[in-house]
Amino acid sequence: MKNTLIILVFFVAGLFAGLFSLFPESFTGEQMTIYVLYLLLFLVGLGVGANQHTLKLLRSVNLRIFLVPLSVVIGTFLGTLVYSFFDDGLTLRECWAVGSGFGYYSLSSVIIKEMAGESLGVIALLSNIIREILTLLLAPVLSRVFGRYAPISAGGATSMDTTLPMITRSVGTEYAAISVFSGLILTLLVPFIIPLIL
Amino acid sequence: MFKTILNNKTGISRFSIIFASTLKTGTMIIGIALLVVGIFTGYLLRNRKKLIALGSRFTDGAIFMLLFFLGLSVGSNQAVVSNFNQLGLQAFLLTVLATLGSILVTQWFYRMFFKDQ
Repeated sequence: MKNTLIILVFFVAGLFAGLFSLFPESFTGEQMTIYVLYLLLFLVGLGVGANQHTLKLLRSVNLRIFLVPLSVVIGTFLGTLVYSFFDDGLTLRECWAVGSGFGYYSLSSVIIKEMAGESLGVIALLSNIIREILTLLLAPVLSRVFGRYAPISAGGATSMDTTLPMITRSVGTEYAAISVFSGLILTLLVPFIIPLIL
Repeated sequence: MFKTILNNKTGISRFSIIFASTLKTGTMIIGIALLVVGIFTGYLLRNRKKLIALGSRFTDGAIFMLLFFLGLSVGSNQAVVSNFNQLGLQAFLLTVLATLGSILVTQWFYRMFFKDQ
C-alpha cells in the first residue's frame, strides 16, 4: 500500500507538471517511456527468475494449480464483457485490455497508454488500482461469502505481492503458495495479453 | 442512469483513434523478449543477492519514472483532464464487474475441480 501511494504521488506530480506546462512542449517523455518500459520488463523478468520460490513452486505444480489464474482470466473477460454492454464509449477490446491488467496497474497502464492513448491509459491506471484496493478491503468478506480462493481471484496479479499479506490473513497461510503462483502467472501474462487484445 | 453518463459522446474510442498507438505491437514483442531474457538472466544470477536487490530498486525507480511520464502526458491532454470524473466512474464500474466475474468463475472452477481435495 505504501508503494501504491508513492506511485500515485509520482503520477500526480506528472499530472501537475503537464497541467501547468512545466516542461517545454517538445518534451513529452514519449521516447523515454519506451526505453524505461523495456528496462522495467527486463527487471520484472530478473526478479521472477531470481526468486527462490519460483522454482520450488514450478516443481510442486500439478496442472490443477493453473485453474486459479485461468479462472481469473476467464472471469475478468466475462465481467468486462458484461460491462461493455453498458458502456457505448468503450469497445469490447478496450474493456478487455483494461481488465487484463489484473490489478498490475503500473505496467498495464503504461502499455495501454502507449498503444491506445491517454484516456484508456487513465482508465487502466484507476481500474487496476481499484482492483488492488477492493481486494485489500474486501478479502475477509470475499473469503467468507465466496470461498477461500475468492480473495486470491480478486487480487489477480497482485496476489503474489501487494495483496498477499491480506490474503493469507483472510484465508490462511496454507494458501500462500497458490496465491503467489496465481499472481505470478497473471503478472507474466499482462505484457503478452494486452498487445494481443489491442 | 449509468448508461446516460457513460454514453457521453466524448467516449474513449474516439480518443484512441486520435492518439493512435505510438507503440506498435512489434515494439511490445521486443519488450516481451526482454522479459524472457530477464527471467533467464535472473535465474543465472539468482545467487548474486546484491545484484538482484539492486535490480529490484531499479524496478521501483523505473515504475516511478513511467508513472510520472504517464501523469505528464495525461496532464497535457485537455480532453482527458476535463473527462477525469467520467473516466474514474468507467474504471470503477468496469473493475467491480471484472473482479466479481473472476471470483464467480474461480468459485465455479473450484466446485468442479477441487472439491474432492
